[in-house]
Amino acid sequence: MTDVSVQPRWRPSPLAGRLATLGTLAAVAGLLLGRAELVVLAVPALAFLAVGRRAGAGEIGVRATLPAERCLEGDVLDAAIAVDPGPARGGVLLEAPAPSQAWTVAGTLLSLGGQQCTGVLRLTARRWGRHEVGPVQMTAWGPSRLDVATTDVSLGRVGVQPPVAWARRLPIPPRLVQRVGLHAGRTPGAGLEFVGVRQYEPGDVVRRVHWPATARRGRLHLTRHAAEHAADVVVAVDATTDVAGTLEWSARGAAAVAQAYLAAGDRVGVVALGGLVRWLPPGAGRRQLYRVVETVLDVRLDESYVGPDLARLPRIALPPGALVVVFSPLLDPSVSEVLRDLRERGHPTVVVDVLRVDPQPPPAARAGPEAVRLWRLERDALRYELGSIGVTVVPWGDDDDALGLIDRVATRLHPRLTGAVR
Amino acid sequence: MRALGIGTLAALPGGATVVLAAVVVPADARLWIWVAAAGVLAAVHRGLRWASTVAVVGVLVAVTLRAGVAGLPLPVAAGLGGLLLAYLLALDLAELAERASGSWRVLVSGWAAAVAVPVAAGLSACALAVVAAAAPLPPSLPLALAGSVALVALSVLALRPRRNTDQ
Repeated sequence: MTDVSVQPRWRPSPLAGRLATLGTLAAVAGLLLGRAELVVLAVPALAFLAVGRRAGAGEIGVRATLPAERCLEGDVLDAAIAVDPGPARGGVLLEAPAPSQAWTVAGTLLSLGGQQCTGVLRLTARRWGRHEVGPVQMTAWGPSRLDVATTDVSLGRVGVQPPVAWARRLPIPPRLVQRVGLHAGRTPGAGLEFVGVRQYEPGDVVRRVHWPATARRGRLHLTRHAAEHAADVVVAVDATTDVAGTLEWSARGAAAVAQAYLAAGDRVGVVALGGLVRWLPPGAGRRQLYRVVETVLDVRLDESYVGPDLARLPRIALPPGALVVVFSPLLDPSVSEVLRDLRERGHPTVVVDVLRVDPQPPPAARAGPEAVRLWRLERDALRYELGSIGVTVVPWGDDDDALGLIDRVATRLHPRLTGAVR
Repeated sequence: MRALGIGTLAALPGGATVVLAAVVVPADARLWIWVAAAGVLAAVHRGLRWASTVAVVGVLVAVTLRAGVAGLPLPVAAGLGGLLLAYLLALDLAELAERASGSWRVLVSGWAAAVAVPVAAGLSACALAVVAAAAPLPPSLPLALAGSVALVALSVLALRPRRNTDQ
């Protein structure tokens, strides 16, 4: 629930302006010409202005009750609004301003006669992020509609989360944590993945007898299954550069990848690569999803002289063997150093190149196309160099959505790093 | 379409004003009547409401020309004043109705409650002017001014909110 008290800044309304124009012009013309008729013509307007009451001091109260503090992109929220007009006895109108990138507001709310009123404004979340709800435009009129005040009112703050991503295939790190999950590991255990047959030993569960092998060999044999474990995944967002919306794409992709892994029961953490060290240790579950999204929403461009450095991260933020998915435009050399550092630490690393546009040389530049070609060659060299140290680089194509991207990441990885989610 | 319909309704008092002014003004001042008519027509559109000022100025100039040449009957002046007031108020109501959604009855009654007192004062002034025109005394500027001031003063005194004396 959000309570907003607005101190209106009154100014003459258009009605007051028109009446003053009419009254003044007619009265002045009458006085100059010495004609009483023109003064009589001006009298109704002047009488209205003289008798009309002006707005007094006081505050306009707006109480907004939102059904949730979080929602998904595209969700519709019905905000219950209560308006206490206070000095605005000529009316209070709440209406949608021009459509914003974050919200679409439908409906209006009008209070007339100085009475409290309630109503509902329908808000549609258009873009994920942590946004002020609305803001809605409030127009208030004084008692005789001769004064008007206009202001924007925010109805609270809602975290809009990206749409849920469910991936069929996820890249899995070779080293899984000792925690029950959905990925078949290399050690035998009580999973569902068939790994072989072995001889019966006293104490084994009889339900697992492998009857074909038993019949062939004449001795009891049991089915062996692979243990199923969870994976540790750290999503890193490059906050050192923001070119053509790369930070936006990075955050969107990071949230989608985190959602996909959390849905598979894995542990996901977040690291923001920037001047400031921001991190979230890996965790699992629905609550972790909210934490991840909140952390990703907090990632902003860090214009700092201090480069990203993994040495400043605690061990808990980057567990040994965790798969690291880095979203970066690969423009800052310090990020390349971080990638090398990750490989030296033994982390399987995937880089999603979020730079989706080429640089545009000035139209008058003589060597513009050649410069762009050189730039592309440098990018290719950088990708080759990263590939040579074991970093998989996947470009985020124009037609990719988050799910397609995850699938392509899984496709491009080494077979040992890919797995299917059951 | 709804906004255009509301604007057309609001333009009706303006059209009546222009017609009344066209009846009384001399032929060589008709240009200003056309200016006023164009202003009223343009102000039908929501984005051109400022043109209502053009309409008001056109009517005033035309009427001033008539008053300067041959004088203007006081009932006509009072009628024009009342119609212009009604036109400007209709524009105000139209602006509110275009932006708000909901019951027309609630909207109009709430709006009318807000402007009722000043409108009553304005119409009283018109009535006084008509009465003054019917009086045997020739209308004069001092008389009109004194009457108007007295009317406004009386209206303010009569319509002033009274204190609650029950406590």
